[in-house]
Amino acid sequence: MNNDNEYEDIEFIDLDDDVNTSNPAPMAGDVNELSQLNEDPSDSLEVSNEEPISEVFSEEPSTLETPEDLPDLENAKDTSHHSSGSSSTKKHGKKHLSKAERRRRRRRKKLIRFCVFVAALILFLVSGGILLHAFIGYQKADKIYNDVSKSIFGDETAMVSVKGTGTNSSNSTTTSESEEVKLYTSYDHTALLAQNSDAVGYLQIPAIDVLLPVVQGDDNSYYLNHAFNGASSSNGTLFVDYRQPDGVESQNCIIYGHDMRNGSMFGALNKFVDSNFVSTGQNRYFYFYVNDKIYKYEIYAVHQTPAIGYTYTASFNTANEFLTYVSEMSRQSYYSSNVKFTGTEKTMTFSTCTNDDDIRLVVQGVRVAELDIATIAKEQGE
Amino acid sequence: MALVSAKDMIDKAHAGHYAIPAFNTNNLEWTKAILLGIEAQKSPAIIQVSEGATKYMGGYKAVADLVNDLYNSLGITVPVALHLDHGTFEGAKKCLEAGFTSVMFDGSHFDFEENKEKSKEIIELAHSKGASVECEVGGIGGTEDGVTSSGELANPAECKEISDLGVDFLAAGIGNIHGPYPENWAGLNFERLDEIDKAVNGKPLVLHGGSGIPFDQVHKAVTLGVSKVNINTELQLEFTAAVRKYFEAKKDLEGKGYDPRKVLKPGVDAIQAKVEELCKAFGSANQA
Repeated sequence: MNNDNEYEDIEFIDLDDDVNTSNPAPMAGDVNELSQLNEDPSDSLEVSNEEPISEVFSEEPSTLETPEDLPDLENAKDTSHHSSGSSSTKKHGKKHLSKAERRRRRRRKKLIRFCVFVAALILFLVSGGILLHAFIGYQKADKIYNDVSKSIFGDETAMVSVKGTGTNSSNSTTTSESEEVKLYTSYDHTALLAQNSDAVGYLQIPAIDVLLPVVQGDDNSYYLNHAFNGASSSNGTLFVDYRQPDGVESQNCIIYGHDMRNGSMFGALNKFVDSNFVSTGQNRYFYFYVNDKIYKYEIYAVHQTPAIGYTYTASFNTANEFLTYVSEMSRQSYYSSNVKFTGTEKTMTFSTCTNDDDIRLVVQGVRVAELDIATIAKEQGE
Repeated sequence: MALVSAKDMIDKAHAGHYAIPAFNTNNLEWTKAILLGIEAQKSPAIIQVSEGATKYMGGYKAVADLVNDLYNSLGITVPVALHLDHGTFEGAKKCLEAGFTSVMFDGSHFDFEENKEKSKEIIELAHSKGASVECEVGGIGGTEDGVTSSGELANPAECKEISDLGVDFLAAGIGNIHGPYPENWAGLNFERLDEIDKAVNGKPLVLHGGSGIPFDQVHKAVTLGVSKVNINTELQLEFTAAVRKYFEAKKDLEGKGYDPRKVLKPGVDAIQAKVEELCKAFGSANQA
C-alpha cells in the first residue's frame, strides 16, 4: 500500500538516484577514508606499476580529483619525503622548475591512481564477499532442502510415473495428457512432522522442479528467514498464511516463498508468466502431498498484484464470495484457463516478490483431484 | 470550462463522506482513459503526475497543456484538478507557473522545521494563484520518486502544525506495511488515523498508495477523515496485463494488428474500466 509512485519513474529518476545516492555514496566515503588512511606514500611507490588496473577503474572517483583533495595529498607526500630519507630522489643541483613540477605531478598521479586502485580493490573484495556469502547461503539452503526431501521421499527409485490423471474430479481440461509426471509414492508425512511440527505438507511443481516442504508458523515473518530445520537462512521456507487455521484445506490457501535469484524456492515461479509455458504439456499441474494423499491442482490464474489487497483474501463467507474472487483473479490473469468453478472448490495461491517492493507475482491453482498414494503405488506395481 | 482547484471537490467529499480518486497519468492514452472514465461516472476527480512522469511527458507545461486541451476537446463536464504528486519545492513552483491547479509539496524527508517553513511558502504561493496544496507529514513508507522513507506513522502534533499553516489537504503516514510481506495485514493504522483526524480538526486527509487497499478499509478511512485516495499502481497493472494478453494472443500478427492504436487499445480500455469501478467504490460517482 505504501506508495504508488516509485514504479513509474524507473527510467527517468530512479536510475539517476540510484547512481548518485545508493551506491556511490558509500563508495565516495570509502575513498575519502582511504586517502586519509594511506597517507604513507612509500606504499604508493611500490604499487605504482599497477597502471593498467588503475586505468580500468580510473573513470570512477571524480571525488579524488577535486581541488580540495589535491593539496592534502601533496602535503602527505612532502612529509613522507623527509621521513623516507629521499633515497629515491637524486639530487641534481638546480633543476628546472618544470622538471620538479613534472615529477610532482607524476607522483600526484601515482598517488591518485593508487587510491583509486585501493578503492577498487576494496570494492572488489567487498562485492566478492557479498557474492560468496550469497553463494554459500544458496548452497547451504540447497543442502538443507535436498536432505529433507531425501529423508521424506527416500531415493529417486521410489518415484512412479503417472500419466495425466483426472481421477476423482472432472475439472481438468482436455489436452494431450500423454506426458508423464513423476510422483513420489514413498511420501512419509509423519517423518516430515517429526522434523518440524509446523510442517503442513510437501509441494511439488514439476514444471519448475520445485519439491519443497511447506510450513505454517504463528506469523508471516519467522519463516521468511528460517529454513525448514530452523536454521537462519535467507531462503526461508515456503509457508502458509498464518491467518488460515484450515491450512491447506482453506478455500484459498496462500503460500509465500522467496523469489531467490538462483531460481530456488519460488524463484522460478516467474516462468508461469508466459502463458505458452503454462499450457505446454502438463506444466499447468502441481501437486501437494498431505498424509496419504496427493492433491492435484491446475493453474487457473497468473498475474502481478499489489502487495496487499483482494488477492490475499484469506477466507470467504459464502460460495458467491468465493466465485466473485476466482472470477476476478481469472480476469486479471495473463493465462486464460478453461477451469469452471462451482463455489465449493479449494484453491491455492503462491505469492512471491518481484523487483518492485509493492508488487507480487501470484500463481493460483484449483484442486482437481485427490490421489490416494497407496492406490497409485498399487496400480504401478501391477 | 477549465481545470479547477481541488479544494472545493475535496471539501465537498469530506462533508459528504466519500473520497475523491486521484489517478496518476503517464501519457495521452492514460489521460484520455481517466477523463472518459470519470465523465461516464459523473465523478469529480484529480489527475496527478509525479515529477518523474512530467519528465517522461516532456515537461510541466506539456502536461498542463495536454490535460487542459483534452479536457476541452473531449467535452468533459465534471470538475477536474491537475495536481503534482510528491512534488519537490522547486517542482511545485514550476507546476504552479505552468498552470497546475493543485500541487503537493512533499517535505517529509526534511526535518520538521524545514518541512514546515517550505510548506508555508508553497501554500502562500499556491493560494495566491488560486491553486490548492497538499503537504505531507511523516514517512508514508516506500520509495517516492527516489526518496525513501521508513513506514513510520505521522505524529499528530506535527500534523496539526502543518494543518494550521492553511494547507488544503494533508497526507499523513498511517500505514506501515512496507517490507517483503506485511506484518500488519490490516495495512492501515486506523487508531493513528483517528488521532490525526482529531488533531487537525476536520482537515481533509489523503490516503497515499490506495492501490490494492481493500474497499472496506478505504471506506473506514473515509469515515475517519480521508477525502482523497491516490491510485497509480493498480492502473499500471491493469494496462500491462491487457496489453500482454494482446501480444500473447498474437493479435499483433493479425491484419493491421501492429498499429500502435490497436496495440494500446486493450490497455486503455482496461484503465477506463478500472477508473469507473473505483469511482463507484469510493462513492464519488454521480457527485459531480
